[in-house]
Amino acid sequence: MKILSDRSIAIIGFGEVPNVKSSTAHALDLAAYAAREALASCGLDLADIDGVTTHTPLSEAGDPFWSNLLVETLGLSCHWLQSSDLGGAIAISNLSRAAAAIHAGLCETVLCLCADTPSTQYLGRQGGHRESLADPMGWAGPITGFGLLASAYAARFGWPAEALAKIAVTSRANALANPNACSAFRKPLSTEDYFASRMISDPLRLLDCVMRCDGANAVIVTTTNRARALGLKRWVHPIAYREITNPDPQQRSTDILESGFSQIGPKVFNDAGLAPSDIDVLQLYDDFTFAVLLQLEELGFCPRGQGARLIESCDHSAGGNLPLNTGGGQLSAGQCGLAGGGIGLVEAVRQLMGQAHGRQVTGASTALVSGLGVLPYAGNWGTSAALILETAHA
Amino acid sequence: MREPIRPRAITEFLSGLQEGSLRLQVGSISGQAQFYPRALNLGSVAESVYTKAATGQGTLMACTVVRSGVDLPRPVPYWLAMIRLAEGPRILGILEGDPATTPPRIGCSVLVQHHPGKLPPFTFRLADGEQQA
Repeated sequence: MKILSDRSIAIIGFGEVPNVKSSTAHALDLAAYAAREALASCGLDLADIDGVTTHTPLSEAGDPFWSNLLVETLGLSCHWLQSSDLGGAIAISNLSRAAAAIHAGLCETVLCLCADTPSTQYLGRQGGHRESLADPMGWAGPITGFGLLASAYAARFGWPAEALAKIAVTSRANALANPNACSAFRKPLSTEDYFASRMISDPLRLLDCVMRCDGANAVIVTTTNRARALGLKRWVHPIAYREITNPDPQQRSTDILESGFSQIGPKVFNDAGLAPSDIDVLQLYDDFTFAVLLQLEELGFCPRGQGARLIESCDHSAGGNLPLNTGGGQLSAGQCGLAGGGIGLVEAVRQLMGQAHGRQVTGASTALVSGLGVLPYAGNWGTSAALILETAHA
Repeated sequence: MREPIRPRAITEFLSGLQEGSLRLQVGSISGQAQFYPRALNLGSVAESVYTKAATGQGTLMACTVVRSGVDLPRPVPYWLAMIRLAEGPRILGILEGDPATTPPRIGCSVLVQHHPGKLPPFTFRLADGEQQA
């Protein structure tokens, strides 16, 4: 997006509520808490917001007027309102759309808000995998799809069990320094624990998977001019964004491991004028450990089949040489339903704002956040999206 | 409970399974097969599709063990496979065999087996000459 590379868009605030398993809270309440925190972080109030992006939560699925209800509940009046349904890519795709809306003159300051309470109430009906064909034939949910992809990877490159164990263990260690991580995960995890966890969909184990929880997160996006006018000292520029949905519409590829990231990866780095080695902080969408490994390869951080070598040779803690999911990611902070993609976005912004107390990546000035959405029938990820961020000072 | 409303092409496909036929859509000009069935040709809207029965031959692309779930078509565990049909499209189905053993080699040949009137309505088995690990 050319409108990003000119650094005319700024993320000026962020907010997040702690992830909680079975909180009994309503998504509207968590949304309000996250919005309040985001506004307070940059000194704005409700009347300063004239645009909103959001999504219908799994806990409220089927409500055709969710976004309208949300805006009314929060006491906002907006000239631009968008709800999207790109699954784990919702947070960063909504941010890109907010930037486009600001450039189009539809609004000036957008609250990008995600909230979901699927571990309290789940009303979703997942149909992106073509349920009438898949379910009667033995499909048992998204884990089946990831198990299939994982088996194809294992057959071609060998199963990178040690590397995936390291992702799980490091994510947990990172979550220990994140007060917003789900309390169920606030205890150390060992490699032995990982290998002792049961198989869920071979070759994936229980500790390769996320656990659902409730949560909410938000960022505030405006023009760089407005950020300056507000007297802010520091903000974050989104400098490149790419997404693709249904990258192989005719299923011509015989390589099931090839995802949309292999198409957008080179483009997003080219747009940003950066190489993977220039990224200080990685926030990769992590509904499964294996998704992290595959994205590293697909985005170009290492050649195909070399993901395990990269993971095992790097330190992924905040003090390491390749900081990855520094708040624990979804794997160890919890997956708050369709708000889960916002965990990585908020953590990246927090890092680039220099506010990741206790887990700050020293000198972090660039970050990459990814998102992905749905496993379609007999395919790889439906939507692949990547966002590159950069720190800015007044 | 009412039957769910499905796209017409999928309803026709499911009806074909009840007759023991796995039907693919084929482009009238390109000759390219597509699955799952849709209301249009995936290559071009200027091209129509016709339906023909698949040979039932395919190649194993991926295979996992389903170990839990709700409303599954048979007791767990079982192998759930992604197959590339000889005509090109990918399809999902249970692969017959003992899930307590190592799954068959990716790339091995498989054949469809029809079970009209039952769930699942079709499964796959290893082709003659292929060995289970």
